[in-house]
Formats: sequence, structure tokens, C-alpha cells
Amino acid sequence: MPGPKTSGADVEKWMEEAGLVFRGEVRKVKASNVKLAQPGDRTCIVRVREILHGPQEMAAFAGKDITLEMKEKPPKPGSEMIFFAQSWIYAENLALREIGRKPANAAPEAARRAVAAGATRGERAVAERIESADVVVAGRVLETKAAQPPRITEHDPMWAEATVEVESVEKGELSADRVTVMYPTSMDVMWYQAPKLQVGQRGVWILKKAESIGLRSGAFAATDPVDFQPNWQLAGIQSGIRKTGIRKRGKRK
Amino acid sequence: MGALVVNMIPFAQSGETNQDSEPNLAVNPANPDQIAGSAFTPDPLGGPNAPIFVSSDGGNTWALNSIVPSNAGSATGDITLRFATTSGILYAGILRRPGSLRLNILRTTNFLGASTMTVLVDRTGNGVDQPYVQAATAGTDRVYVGDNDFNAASGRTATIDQSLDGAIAAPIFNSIRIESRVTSGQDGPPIRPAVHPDGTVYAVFYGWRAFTGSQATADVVIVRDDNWGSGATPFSALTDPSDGLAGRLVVTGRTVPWANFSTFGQERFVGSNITIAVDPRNSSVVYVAWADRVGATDYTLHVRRSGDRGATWSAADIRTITNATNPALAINSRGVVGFLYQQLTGSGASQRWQTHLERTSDDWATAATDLILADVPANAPAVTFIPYIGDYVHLMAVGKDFYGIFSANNTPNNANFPNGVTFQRNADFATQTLRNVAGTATVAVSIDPFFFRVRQIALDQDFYVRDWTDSASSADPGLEPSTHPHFYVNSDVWNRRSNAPGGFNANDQPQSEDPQMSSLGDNFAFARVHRKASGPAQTVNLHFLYSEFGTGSNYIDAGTGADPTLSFAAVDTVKTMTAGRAWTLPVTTSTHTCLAVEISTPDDPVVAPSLLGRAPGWPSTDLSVLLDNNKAQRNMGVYPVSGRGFGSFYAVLHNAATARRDMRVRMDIPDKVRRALRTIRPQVLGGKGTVESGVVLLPDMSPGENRWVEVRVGMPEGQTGDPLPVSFLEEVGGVAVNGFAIAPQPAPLSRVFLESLRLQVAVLARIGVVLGSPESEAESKATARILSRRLTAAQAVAFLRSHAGPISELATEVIRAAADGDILDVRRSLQEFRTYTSSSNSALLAPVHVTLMHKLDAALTMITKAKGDPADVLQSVRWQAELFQAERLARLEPSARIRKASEKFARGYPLREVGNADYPKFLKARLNDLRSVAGELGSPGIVDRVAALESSLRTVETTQAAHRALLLELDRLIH
Repeated sequence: MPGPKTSGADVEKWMEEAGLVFRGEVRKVKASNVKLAQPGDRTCIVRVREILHGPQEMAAFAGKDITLEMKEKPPKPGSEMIFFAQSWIYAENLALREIGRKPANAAPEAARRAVAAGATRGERAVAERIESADVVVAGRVLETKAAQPPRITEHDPMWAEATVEVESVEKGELSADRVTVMYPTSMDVMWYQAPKLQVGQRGVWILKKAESIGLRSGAFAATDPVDFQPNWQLAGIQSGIRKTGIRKRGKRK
Repeated sequence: MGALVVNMIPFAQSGETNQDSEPNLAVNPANPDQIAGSAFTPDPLGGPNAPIFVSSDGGNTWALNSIVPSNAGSATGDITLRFATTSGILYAGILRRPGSLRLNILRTTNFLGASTMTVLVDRTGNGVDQPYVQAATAGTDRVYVGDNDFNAASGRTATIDQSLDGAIAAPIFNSIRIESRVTSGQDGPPIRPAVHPDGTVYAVFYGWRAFTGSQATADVVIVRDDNWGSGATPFSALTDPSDGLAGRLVVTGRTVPWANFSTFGQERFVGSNITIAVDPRNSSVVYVAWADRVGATDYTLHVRRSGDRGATWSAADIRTITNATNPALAINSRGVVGFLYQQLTGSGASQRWQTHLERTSDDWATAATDLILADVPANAPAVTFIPYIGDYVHLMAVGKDFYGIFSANNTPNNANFPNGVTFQRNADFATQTLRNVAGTATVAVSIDPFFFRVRQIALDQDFYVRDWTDSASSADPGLEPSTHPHFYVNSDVWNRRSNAPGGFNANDQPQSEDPQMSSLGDNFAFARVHRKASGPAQTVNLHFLYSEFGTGSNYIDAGTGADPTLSFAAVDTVKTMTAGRAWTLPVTTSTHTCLAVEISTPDDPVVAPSLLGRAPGWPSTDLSVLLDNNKAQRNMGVYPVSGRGFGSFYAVLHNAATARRDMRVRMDIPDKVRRALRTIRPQVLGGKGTVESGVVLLPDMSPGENRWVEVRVGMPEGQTGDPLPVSFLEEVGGVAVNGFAIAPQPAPLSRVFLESLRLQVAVLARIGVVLGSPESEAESKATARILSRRLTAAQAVAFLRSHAGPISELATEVIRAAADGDILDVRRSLQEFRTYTSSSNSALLAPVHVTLMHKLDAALTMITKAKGDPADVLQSVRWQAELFQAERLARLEPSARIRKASEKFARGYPLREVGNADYPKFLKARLNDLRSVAGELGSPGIVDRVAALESSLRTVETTQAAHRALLLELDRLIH
């Protein structure tokens, strides 16, 4: 079977970049069904047979012909492959860029890997935040209050401070049993996805020192959408921390 | 005219439900089919770049192209886009993610390509907000990003980040702080620049004087720079009379509500709604619009106008809209003001967002043309984040057309789009539902960006004369402004010496002939007219004008009587005149001229002012030929040359402005021309200017002053070939506003002699009239006689040898008559002429005779123009009107009368209500007032000049000469 040799490591790497993984059949080479995607040696029209990983709205492309710019020499027409792809052009049809491919005769395994890797992609984002975090705590929000804005812009995060009662420290060092967490309350486009802490809320917070992003010292901050994880994720987070070898420091309670 | 409204979400994104708010738009002025748009739109597959919307078919269809650096899966923060005028480079100002107030200034040379945009600036520090980019090309790409930079000292945060050469590998951006007053700690978020092609750059912002948390007290401040922001203290040209500080206060103490949460039709109030537009025809005319609160709960838009470069403003609103947001202004090439805004109507659950485009030609004195582009529910979909529809929209004009973008509810309901709409995404208008790509599922309603284009004139009524044709496949498509710097070389207006248009060469260019003097026959002016699409039958009127060869000389009518017309049948998109406009040159005028045409139909009139009495580029560098596709001019002299040695040619550089100024003319010589001519040596005659590094600089030229440039070139090899144009671009602020080309053309010696003897006929006849030399007429006629038969080079040499004596005597008379002495060095050429006529060497004689005739022609023009110039009548009257507005003269009792009468004359002149024949009478009627002024000023010089004017009112020429002398004296006195 022509095509690049692949390994499990390849698939994991591709999954880091791929927005869409699908099984498809090459229908025509040196062709395009998107006006702005000029046909060339590496452009093919591929019929999407099955979406294996990607945003929900892309499921509707199953059965559709799309344009795929191959990373390397295209497979022959009729070849069926698992394609790992990312965005190119969205127009009258869809044009994607190939990151990698696997023969479809390895479909069951490739599909499983793809889905599995996709599932861990979200975990990877959490893991990356944990790795760069100063502390990771599990706890409960006791109270919230507004903080003074440093400047007036429509993108003002509208910082608030929450007092979180710490139930466990999963990373870092804390001597107090309460921690002040600053978070953006703004619904502005820059901040609306950031965690919004609410009194009584329980979960895991992945925190950086507030001073590291220009806020007051002595507090921590949660700004990324993944900086709050529901309590049921705690075991997974603890497992992840153990696996990655991040040293868990002291904690009381 | 209706509107084209297009939902920009591509079919392939039919399943999306993003809140694609806060849109922006960039149309490539050099190719309006190329358009880029932006909104808060993430990469659909969560990729690291955010997408922009791109169109390559004038906005009819759109695609997403992810080329904006961002954060995986995120839309970029604030984003605005702009193409530079002619470079095709797209610039962007964004708030980059990850980060919150991280300014990036980006560019791409191929917005349709896949490469991520190049980062030119990456700045955070204390944060930078709401970058709003404008760009223009003036030799280099000038890029202006208005932003609220919290890195500024003392809370004076309003900033322009500018680069005067944005296209180079590593452009330098400077942060210009444009707030000069104390603030509440910062200025408001929006800082909006507006750029005029003459180098005038305005910016408007809210100067915050107090802030309570729920409202700002703000001044609306305008700053201006007159030379691209390039001086030592940029953007300080406007000061406010109240405190003398930079920045004119249009209004003060306005209440601007601040509510950074969903409240106003689910939108917020963050004081980001301010806009500015400058009239492309006249950089003195500028409009602003802003939002504030005048009552308890409203949000009100106000529009005001300045006609004096922002110095004074209309005291009251010329347009007020209540409960609206997102104002955007633009002005098209016809001076039509477009005003885009989004108004919240109704109440409670019935509230709707209406998007309006109003267009007015009279500042809303009469009802504007109002197009409701969208009328959609304001309560659906529910807000995902703020801004709901955006803190801004965008409107721009390219030529006559308006282009814009707004965001709105995307329900496919025709009733929501009263002027029509096209959806690319899968939409079922019958059931008013959105469907996914496969048509298998309904997609929820969301906020989408909508592109629109409104043509002021239908394509089938948009007639134009090409400013340039490079080849059969590359020519001016009627763009406004025209994009070719050489818009006077291969335009579709030309002269012939017989009444037939001649052919077009392989490059589809007409073949022009220099005009001939009347004794050799009439001249015939021709034009080829295009229209942008076939349509109803139409008759096009053509009016021809001519001016002295060079740059800046004012045009006068070519020919008399009714103008010719061209009849377009319904299928026609191009018509060439088959019979020309007959016209003759006055015998005192050089046969070296520029020719222009102005075409018009009832629906597509010429943009005022006419070229009559004016020159392109002035006043105020109005770029009239470039900006009006109904006008075209040809300023190229084609001179057959051959033989050995050198030839010299001449052009007049005239200051057509009403103020003293330095003229800058840049040479532009293609390599092919440089190689063919080998020697190209320009010089300013009489030491009245310099030539350095290919730039001719004429310092301190007074209004109406003429200076001459000589171009000495080597004779090209070969006896046939295309014209070899040496172009001279008159530049103001780096922009070519006018120009001319001297184009030696290799030709057989016989043709070279034929043309130089033709010129000799004209020159000798002019000597007769200008200097009153009776012998010259006989010599002119003798020369004309030999032109009536087929002429060989040997016969020409023989003729010149036999007439060398009388020619020399007449040339000597010209030398004696020259007021400034023999600055052309006719004497040397005459000596060479005598030498080579006696040697009978035709190859040496040809260029010498050509040069001698061109020198004599230029010398006669100097002598003639020194006696007054009918082409300068309007310029003189306009100059007079402006002088009497100057403070020292304005306070004198008669000044208002002189000024008003002058303005009336100037208004009536292009309408042909008054003409040159009325000029002496007009000044005679002003004499008493002028005497009074002279008396009140107590200036003997002015008293003498008024007396001289009184005694000069015999002819238009003598009147103009005396009038100019008086105006010069007044100018000296008040400056």
C-alpha cells in the first residue's frame, strides 16, 4: 500500500494538530472542488466516508466530497485511508490540509487510536495548564467580591476575588486553608470562556500566582477555560499528576 | 440603486452557530473584486490561526481563510483590516490571543494564500486596546493604527501607531500620542484615523475628562497632520482656540454611558462608537459621527461636518439618530456621504436591530436615501458574549461605490432584509430555517456577518475614459482613483492631424500626433469611451481641452461650438469617435500641448470642478483626473529623432496652486528607455531649481509662475521603434498628482526632418506674430510649401542650407527679445545649426535642427506667457478670492465685496456663465475697491499695481499679466 509509514507516535503527533480525522476515499487526484483551492499535484477530491474525530457540526460532511491537499504524494484514486487534517478553506465546499494518513485497512486500530487520542487531547490541555500552574487545589467557593479594575476597557476582565476553602492541594505548596482566587467575570469576547466562580461551587482549580499576570500578590488567578475542573475529574487529575511526575507538595487538611 | 447584501458564512460552514460579531471590511482599491472581512470567528477545526473572510469576486461569494495568528480554537480579539491603495498588501490591527490587550500589527501580500500573516508589531506592556487600521500607498505604504495605548504616559492614551513604509521587510512603527490634554486617567477606547491621498491624515477620539464607572464625560477631539504624520510634531496641525492645544474640540463635556454588560438589544455601551471620513475630492472636507447620551436612557448618534480642515465645525448636528450604535461614515468619489448605523427599534420582546445605510449629497438638507439592509429580532439568539453585534462595523467607498459590513441575526427570512439578501450557507427561506451542509438537520440561529455593496451609478451607466493602457490585456478598468502612476501617457484621448482616429497599436494604444498650427490644417481630438456593462442606449457628451505641455498648466477649451457626442447602442460597452473634434491652436501658442477630455451623461456627470481653467492636482491636490473616470488627459510629447549627437526638449512647470509652494517632479525612466537613449540629462533653466537623484525640485514657486525644464537626450540607435518615454511625475506628499512624458521616437531621418520642419513652420509663424517680424511669415510659408510634397532627408538638408541665413536672423531676434536673457542657450544651437547646414551632414544636422526648433518654440512660449496667459484667468481670480480672506486684507472694508465677487466669478467660470471675455470687465468693476484697499494699506507698490491694472484692461492677456503683478504684490505684503 503506498503512503507514508506510520507509527503510534505519528498518530499521537498528528492528533495534536488535527482538527478532523476521517476515513475517506480518494476520488480524483490533481483536482479541487473549491474555487479558491487551485488544483495542483497534491490536491485531491476525497469522499468522506466516516468522521472519526472533530467538531460535531463536521459530522454532516460524511458522504460529501471535499478537497484535500496532501502532505506528500497522493494515494491513487480509489484508495481508502484514515486522514488527519486541519483547516484550509471553507467556501462552496470544504478544503482541508492533510497532516498525516494511515491505510484504511488498519481502520479499526487507527479509528480507535484516533478517538482515544482525541479524548486525551482535552486532557492534554488540562495537563499543560497543570504543568505551568503554581498550585492546583480542590475546594469550595466560600464567597466572591469585585476587585478594582486597573484600567477601563471594553476588554476589562472585570476581576473578582473568590475565597476558596481548600480541601486538598494537588500541586504546589499552601500553608493556609483558604486561598484567594482572582477570576474574570467579564462576558467580553476575550474572557467569556474563563471560569466564573460561584459561591458554593466545588471543584478543582488550576491556579497561577496572580502577580505573574500583573495582579496583586498573595492571590492566585484562574483565567483559562480549563482552569476549573468539576470535582469528578479530581481522580483523573491526581492520576495525571502522578504519571507526569509533577511533585505534589504539602497540603493540610 | 439597490444593494447587494450577502451573508458571508460559506456553505461549508452551514453548521456553525458562532456569534460572528464586530465585523470589519477591507476592499482592495486597486482591484475591488478582492475583499477581506473579519469578525469574532474562530477556526472551525480549532486550529492555531483565526480566519478572515475572503472574496475574489467583488463580495458575491466568500470563503474562510485561517491566516491570523491566534490561540488554538479561538477567534482573534479585536481585528480590523485595510488594503493599501495600490500595493495590494492587506494590513491588520488585532488584539492577539493568547493575551488580553496584546497589540499585533500584521500584513500579508496574499490574503487569499495560506501563509500566516506576518507580525510587524507585537506589544503588550500595560496593554493596548481596539486597534483600527487605515492604509494608503503614496510611493510607500503608509499605515496608521488608531489604538488606546495604556503604555502612554500621564493617561494620555489616544495613540496612532504609524509606519511611513509598511511594505519593507522590517517596517518601523512609531507611537504618536495624540492626546494633549489632561484625562480622567485614560481616553476612550476608539481612536479612528482617516487618510486622504494628498497626505492629510485625521484622527478622532473621545478625550475622557472624567469617569464614574457608569459614564464618561468626554470631548470629541479631532487631530490632523498635513504630511502623512511625517514631521517632528505629527498630528498637531489643528489646535483648539479655547486653550491653544493640539486637537480641535468638536464638542465638549458629553456624557458617554459605560455598561460593559448585555443591555441594549443585548449589546453593551463601551463608548466605542465614533467614526470619521474625509472627502476624497477635497481633504478640507471632513465628517465625524459619535454616540453619546443626551437624555436619561438613550444612545444617540450625531453627525457633524467641517469644510475647513477641521478648524470649525457645524454648530449643530447635521444628522441625529436616537437609540442607535455603530456609526460608520464614508464619502465616495462624487462627494456622496454614506452613513451606516444600527438602530434599536421597538420595545420589550419586539425590539429589533435595524441596519441603515443613508446616503446624502446635501448634508441631509433634503431627505437622504435610506436603505434598510437588515431588520432583525434583537432578542434572538441569546447573547453568548459581548459585544453582541459588535463595538463597530465598517463602511468604505471605492470610487462611486459603497462597501460595508455588519453583523446581525441570520434567520433566513426575506422580510428581515428589505433590500434583498443572498445566503451562501444552507438556508431554507420557505421555512425560515438554517440547515447543515447535508441538509439533514436544522441549525440554530446565530449572529453572522453580512457584506453589502451599494453602487451609486449602475455599471451600465458608468462611462469612463481609460487613463492608461499597457497592453491588450492590461488597461484601466475605470477605477476611481486610477491606480497607474503614468495616467497621462497612454490614455484614451489623443490628437490627429486629419479627421480619422488612426489605428490602435498591438498594445491597444491609440496613436497620437502632436498638434499642428492652423496654417498646416486643423487638429482633431479623439477619444475612446468605455462603459462597465452593456445597458440601455445612451449618448455620451465629450468636451476637449488643451494646455501647455508640461505639468500644472491650466486647461482651456479645445475648439468651439457644440461638443461632439458618442451614441452607445444597448449592446455597446466601448465606442471610439470616428470623426474628431476639430480644433485649432492660436498662432501664438506652441504646438506642444497636453490634451484632455471630459465625458458626461445625465446619470454620470463630470465631477466638479471641470478642468477648465485648472490643472489636475490643484487646488488642494484634488487628483481630479485620477478620481474621476470621466476625465482623462494625455501629456506625452512624441518627438521623432535620429542621427548622431543629442537633442533637447522642453516642458513648462506651472504652479497652479493659489499659494507659494515647492514643486517636486520625479523622473521615472524605464530601463529600456535608459539603455536606448544612453544620455538623459535634465536641468532647470535659469538656475531656478535643481535636479538631484532624478528629482527636479523647484523651490518657492509663486502662484501662476512658470519654470522650464530641459531634457537633453542621446540619439537612439536604429531608425524605427516605439516612443521612449522619459516620465516626470509631479508629486505632492509622495503621491503623483500630475505628470508628463517626453518621448523621443527612433525614426528615419526623412521623418525626423519632416517633423522638425513642421515645427519650424509653427515657430516661424509665431515669431511673426509675437515679435512682429514680417520676414518670418514668408519663411514659414516657404517651409510649409516643401512639406506639401514627399520629402527626402537630402532635400530637407538642402532646404535648410538655402534658408540658414533668414532662419539665423529670426532666431537672433528671438534671443534679443527674451526677457530673462538667453537661458535656453539658443545662441549655441544656432551656431551648431550654421555649422552643420554648411557641412550637409544630415545625421548631424537632424538633431541640431530638432533642438534649435524646440528651443525657439520654448523661447517664444516664455516671451508669450510673460505678457499674460488666458489659461490663468480662473487661477488669478481664485487667488484673489483667497488673498482677500487673509486676515490683513479681510479687515478692510472693500475686501468682502472683492472676495464675494471673485468667488462668484470663479463659480460661474466652469459653468461657462462667465468667461475670459468677461475678465477685464470684471476687474474694471473692482477698480474702485482695489484703489480703496491700496489707499488703506498705504502701499505705494500696490497703488502702482492697481494703476497698471487699470491701464492694462485692453486684452485678456495684458489684464492677466497686470492682475497677477498686483496679486503678487498683495501676497508679498500679507505674508
